[in-house]
Amino acid sequence: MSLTGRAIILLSAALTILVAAATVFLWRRGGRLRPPIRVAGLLTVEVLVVLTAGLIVNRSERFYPSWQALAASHSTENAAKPPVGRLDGVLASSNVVRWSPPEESGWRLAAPPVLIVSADYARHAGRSYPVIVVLTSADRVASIRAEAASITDALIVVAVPTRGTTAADLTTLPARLAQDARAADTGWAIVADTAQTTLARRWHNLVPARFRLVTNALATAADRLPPSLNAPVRLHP
Amino acid sequence: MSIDSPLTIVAGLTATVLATVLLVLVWDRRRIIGRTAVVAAVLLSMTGTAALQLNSLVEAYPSWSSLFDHSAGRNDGDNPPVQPPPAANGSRPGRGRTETVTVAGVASHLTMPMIVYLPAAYDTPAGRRLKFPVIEAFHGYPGTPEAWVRRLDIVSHLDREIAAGRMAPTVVLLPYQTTEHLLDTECTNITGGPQAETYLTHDVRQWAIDHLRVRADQPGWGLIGYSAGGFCAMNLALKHPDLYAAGASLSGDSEPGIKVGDGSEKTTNSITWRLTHRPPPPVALYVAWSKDENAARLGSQRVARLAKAPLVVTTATVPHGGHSLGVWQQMEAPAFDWLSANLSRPETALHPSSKPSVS
Repeated sequence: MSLTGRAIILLSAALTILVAAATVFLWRRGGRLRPPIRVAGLLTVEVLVVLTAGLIVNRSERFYPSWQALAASHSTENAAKPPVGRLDGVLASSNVVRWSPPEESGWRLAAPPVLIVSADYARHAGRSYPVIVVLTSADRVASIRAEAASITDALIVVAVPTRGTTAADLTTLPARLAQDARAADTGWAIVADTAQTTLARRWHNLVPARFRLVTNALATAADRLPPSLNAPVRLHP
Repeated sequence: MSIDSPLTIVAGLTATVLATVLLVLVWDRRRIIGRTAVVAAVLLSMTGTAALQLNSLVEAYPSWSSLFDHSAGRNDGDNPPVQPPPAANGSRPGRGRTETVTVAGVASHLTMPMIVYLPAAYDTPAGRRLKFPVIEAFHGYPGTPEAWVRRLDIVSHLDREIAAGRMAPTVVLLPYQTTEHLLDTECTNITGGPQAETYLTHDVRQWAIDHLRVRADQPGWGLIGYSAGGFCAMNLALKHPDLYAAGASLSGDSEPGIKVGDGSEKTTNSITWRLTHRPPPPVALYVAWSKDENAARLGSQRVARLAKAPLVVTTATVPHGGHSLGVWQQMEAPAFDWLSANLSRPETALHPSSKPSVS
């Protein structure tokens, strides 16, 4: 019987009337048992009246649409599986690596990107890190790497696009990075030189769910990103 | 004995039983006036107990005094400004604390109390050099911020998620959304009534920036709410993308379900209208619902269906639970984790002593 169906309301109402009628019928009967019969009858009617009213309101507002809803437990939330990066072993010994996955040739970059992880990356196994992708020129890579050394709590990818690099070329980079390192699903930033701003904005527009902002300053990106976090609790219906 | 304690409900039940017994005892000894008086006592105790039980679920009246005070937002008093806990006994290592403050709204002309959750890190030496991200948490209707604390156990949830590293240390604000207990504002500016939207988006925000070590920029601010508060979180995030980066709705509808007074419930305060008539803003929404309820499920699905980039919607469901506290308790931790992943990290403040009132 449905918790919000008419049947249960009619049943409850009918029981209310029945018990009320029985109480009235027995009101002057029962001899010595008259007082407890009266009390039991009245209390049962009171409970049934409240129950019927509650069922009517619940049918209207659907607070508890099913019996299961009444018994809803806390069993549907679970911690997501801790992330593991394919390159975690390598990154444990060196926090700067030349990143050259199979997809790299399709990105049409001047050279394989440099992947820089924070000093605490190896210490916090299980955490996902926000990502900063730096699109810059070859002559600025060294200075960017130096600046990146002071950035905490982030993965930094330094890439040098060529004239032929398009936003579409780069669409496979986030997924690849998420396999190779513990990159967060969201909260990425692009730091772009003036010459790369158009490419950065187009790439951002292609994957708005992944990228949070486009800026020209590494420090700004680092300040505005989320922190590294352990695997979240998620609902698993 | 507080208004929402189990003892109060037991006392109400006891009074009902006693009144019923009294009715039986006096029935044959009294005439009409006596009988009527006792019947009235039975009805009063019965309906009163049912009302107390209902109130304990939603915390519409969180105290006995609030029963006799038409102003939901009146602060009883003398709430001191936010101060660090006493060094000897006020702090609980690893656990946040709550303070009740009064927000006098300059823009909205509303003055209402607000509960503030400060994470454990807020009171540490390292935390005194940080500006924390902020989440405004909205309650349902009828209700008060006390429902978050007493029924949804928000403090324990936040402490647990932060301690587990699934959420950054975050300041959470729990404001009132209405000036009268039974006036549903849906966080809008009611024509000729409370300017709730202005209060929540301007006054509360400004109070926090002025009095707490919190981030002042849009990427550091998010919203969450359950039931009517879920609508609030989505609607205000979409209306004010310059102020909020993300919003989480737990069983929120896509429409306010009230008359705002200017017809805006069908336009600028309708999420459906906004998503079909205005450019989508660059904010992120977490939209959660129970599969076995109707209004919030259909409204939430509508939001997810109409969302277009750069608006990003993440959906989550529970299989059953209806429109109830049990559902929102399940959704709380996942929603806070998601919000934290979509808000900026605590920011290192250049001037750690710039907020003397709280440090």
